[in-house]
Amino acid sequence: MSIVSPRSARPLLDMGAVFDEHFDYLWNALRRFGVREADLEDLVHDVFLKIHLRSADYDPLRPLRPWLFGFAHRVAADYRRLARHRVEVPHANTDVVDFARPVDERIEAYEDRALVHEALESVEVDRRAVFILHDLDEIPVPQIADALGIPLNTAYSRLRLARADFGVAAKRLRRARGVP
Amino acid sequence: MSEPNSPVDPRDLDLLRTERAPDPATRARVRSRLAAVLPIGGGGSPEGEGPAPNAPNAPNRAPRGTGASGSIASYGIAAVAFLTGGVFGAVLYAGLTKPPPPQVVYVDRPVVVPAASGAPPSAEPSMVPQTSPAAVTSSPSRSSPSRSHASQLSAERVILDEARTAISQGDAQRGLDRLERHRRLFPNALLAEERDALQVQALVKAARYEEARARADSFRKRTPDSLFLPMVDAAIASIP
Repeated sequence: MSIVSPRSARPLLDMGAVFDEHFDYLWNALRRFGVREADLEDLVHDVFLKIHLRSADYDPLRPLRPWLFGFAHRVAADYRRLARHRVEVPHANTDVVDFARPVDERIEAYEDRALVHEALESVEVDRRAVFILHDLDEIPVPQIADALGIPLNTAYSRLRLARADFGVAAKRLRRARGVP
Repeated sequence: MSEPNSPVDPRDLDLLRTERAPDPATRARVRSRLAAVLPIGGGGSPEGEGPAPNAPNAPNRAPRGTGASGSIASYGIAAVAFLTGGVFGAVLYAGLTKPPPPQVVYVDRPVVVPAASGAPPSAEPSMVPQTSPAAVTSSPSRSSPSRSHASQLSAERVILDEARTAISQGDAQRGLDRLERHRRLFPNALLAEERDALQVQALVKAARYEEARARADSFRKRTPDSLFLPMVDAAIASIP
């Protein structure tokens, strides 16, 4: 007898708890995909609706966060496909600036953040998804492949290419700004 | 395959990890919009204060600190009050409770698949895992399809209502955006006819007459008996 839980018998996700725990994470995931500030509210709303509609598919034996990230990735990819949506580089994080520091340090920190986010924006969306999950969220590649529904080798390949793209873009931007 | 070390500068990764907390008002607004269509409850954690206690992967929180003075006294008072309440409660409970009703247990009957369907035989009966994380409730799965159906209907209704309001306020572009969102979110929409009829209206309001006529023709061919046909015809008739 197999011990696989059938989809119909899985308990439903507690959407209130999912919202409270993961709202900030999904919000920032959408920002990292270049969703414009003005559209974030609608899109994060869409992400939670989609999560709810597919909640019966969630396997509680697997980690939740990569699975949720998959929804943000797909919603952001659809959003970017619409030509009228110009994407935004999410660098204007004035609320993470430490106002106790001297002005020149603050400006430097702001420019550093702007630069890395611009470099991230230059990474293709599917590659970026793997890069964010692995290098920022520290999720193992096999789990990422599972969550995004891609073969393991593809996940590794995307990670490698994303890192290369990011590295090249960061170097180019630094050179353009005269930063060593 | 082993996971390679990242060649990316760790300082860049740290900068990328700096997350911005969304505006608490926005968070509350999204929560209330979702609460209108999803079973997420109206409460939730206080704005910006982190996850609910029963949230999945929620970190264990230390109890809120109390000042040294008065803490022993307050614990003593609380203990006495608890014990007194417990004794009264037990006496009242014993006097007022009725014997519990017989418990009804529902057992799923296996579905018999007709032999002529040609479908491959299903896998062996399987077992549900005995443990589940805090993120999931123990709601019976038998109610989930209808609940999900009802939720989808409510969710669709909310978006179409937003579209209708925008169109009636003269903001045809916003109405079209909402309808496009509806189409994207619900490829198998329950309210597809209504959406398509609204789209014709919105296109007329946006002075995109050719598109409106084409959509209306397609609507008429697809659903000649639709209740929304008069609405579509009226919109086309209003084209100057």
